[in-house]
Amino acid sequence: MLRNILDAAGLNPKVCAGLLGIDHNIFHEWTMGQRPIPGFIVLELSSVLGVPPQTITSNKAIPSGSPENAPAVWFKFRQGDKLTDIDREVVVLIRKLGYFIDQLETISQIKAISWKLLFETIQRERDKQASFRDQGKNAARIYRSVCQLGYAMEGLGGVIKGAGDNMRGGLRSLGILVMEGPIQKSQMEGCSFLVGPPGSERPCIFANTYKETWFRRNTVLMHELAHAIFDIDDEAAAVDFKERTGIRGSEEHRADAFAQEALVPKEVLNHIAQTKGLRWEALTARDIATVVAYAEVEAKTVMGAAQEAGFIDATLAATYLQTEIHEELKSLTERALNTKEYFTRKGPDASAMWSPELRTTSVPARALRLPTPYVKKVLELVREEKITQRKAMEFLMIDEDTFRRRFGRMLEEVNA
Amino acid sequence: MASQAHPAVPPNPLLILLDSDVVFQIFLADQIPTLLHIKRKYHIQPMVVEAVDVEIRKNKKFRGRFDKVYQKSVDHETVLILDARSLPAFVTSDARSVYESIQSTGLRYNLFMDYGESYTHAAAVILRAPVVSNDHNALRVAQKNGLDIQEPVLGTFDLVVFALQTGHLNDRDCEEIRKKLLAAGEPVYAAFKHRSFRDGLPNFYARLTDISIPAIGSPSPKSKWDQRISVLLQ
Repeated sequence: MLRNILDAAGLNPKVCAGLLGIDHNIFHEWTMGQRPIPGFIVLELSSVLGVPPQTITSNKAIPSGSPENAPAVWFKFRQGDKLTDIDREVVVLIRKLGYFIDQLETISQIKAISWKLLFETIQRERDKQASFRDQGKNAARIYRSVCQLGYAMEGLGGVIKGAGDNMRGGLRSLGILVMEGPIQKSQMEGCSFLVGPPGSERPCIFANTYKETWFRRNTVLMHELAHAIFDIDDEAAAVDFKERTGIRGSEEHRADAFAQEALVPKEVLNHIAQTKGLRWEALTARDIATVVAYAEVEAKTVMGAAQEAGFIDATLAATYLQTEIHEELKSLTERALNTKEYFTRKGPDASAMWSPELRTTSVPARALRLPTPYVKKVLELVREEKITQRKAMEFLMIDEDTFRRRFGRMLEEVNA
Repeated sequence: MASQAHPAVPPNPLLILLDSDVVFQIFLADQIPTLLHIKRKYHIQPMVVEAVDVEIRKNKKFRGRFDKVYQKSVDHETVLILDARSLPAFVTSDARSVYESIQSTGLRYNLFMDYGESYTHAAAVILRAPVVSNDHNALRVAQKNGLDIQEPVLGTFDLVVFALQTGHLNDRDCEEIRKKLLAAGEPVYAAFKHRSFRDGLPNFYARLTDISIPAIGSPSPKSKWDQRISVLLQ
């Protein structure tokens, strides 16, 4: 029964109704078995809650309340005292998005499933006797090779197109759902779990953007990718917190090594140093900012990699990490700007089209920032009249007024 | 006039399926009595699919304004929710398998339309029942994706003009409805957008008519979607 599933998952029915955009009185009747759950919503509920559709509609009571009876993905999100209702609510919305992405791919007749090949290759090549750190590094090399990641490039107008940009596009083309958004009252820094309807799942990696730099998030996303590759098959979900306390498990060391090697392998550091004429033993603030800007990774990960590559020692790494580089970094890359600064510098075109406000949901009780390619794809399908405008609103989780305000003019221009 | 007088006319549809946008307009224009007129005099039951029922109840334009009126119309079965419980009254074959057909067709349509649209059109196709929806975008999308649509798809003004033709409403009532909808920023059929109801009527092709009464409005179709359903007083 739905009530039991929600209890076990630690989800408040009223909040859940709000997130799914359903009147809470109706949802209450569904949860209590007072009204049959209509067929139209069963697959979405099944996808969000991670249980088979027949379990959703079943009248049989399952042992409720305790986390061990929770669907696997929710078991992880109920553990410990660090995770809050807010974290679980965001996961509900991301899983709802995962369901819609599956529909979007069915409409487009393009199913991105290359992630399976990547994950299988890494698992097959994995030396289980090797240290966890080496397992992570070897996996990262396979990842870089499959995604054909090269070096950061300086394009027109000095715009750096590097690992971070390539990484997101590459992961999405593999079929991995990459999500970034602010969760203010959360200790969670990142997590990974499966999304999508039963039998059509895909990995999702999430990074909390609240008070995190874009450079740090790249490390977080890669760390979560490692968990997605190695851990979520067994654990269903992996969660990382901003403050890391206690003894870290071996899987965390593997994920750290993966992130570092995936983003800043030795050859990338070498390439940056050579092309920019940097001397590792005497980096200025500008030099450190240059490495960070071109590697597109936070200084901590860069210095860890440089130390491991033998370019610097621990003392020098510590000194460099204490160097203030923020202003230098802002002058080198727009990625160092905060969202407001970024859209101001990018000009009216960028802010009019893809600002976070345009990608933020309005129907669910909690807002979620949708990935830009997803929003673009939905609007493309509306323009081609492959989906109705109301379906677009459903996909974008926004109401009619918001849809008209955000995209009405754009759609009118196309129709004219 | 009874239906026996027109043996060539197919029987009245047992039901009409209202999309959420039409339900909002009916409430905005206080036209529940028109639905009741259609139900009582013509034995055509206004219905909404479960997805539309959910959509109506969660809609923020609706909540707090019409929820009591809607609940009352559901309680009195002026508007009936089409679900596994209500369906057997409207089908002669196995209701369970008909319900499952609606669900599976709706699921397929839901790739291209939202829940309300997809299950409304799916039910209409399976039950061969008319849909009342002002959203022609759904028709074009259905056509592009090769989805069957039960035609014609009526609009709110088909119900209004039908009510005028059958003496339930008069000209003044219809003009009031037009004004109310425009004032609420609701989309109104082109013929009535910039003209009074009386002036716009000759340009409106009524798609729901009582065949025993002289038709009103345009004598010829105005678009490819204009097909007529003829009904008789029961």
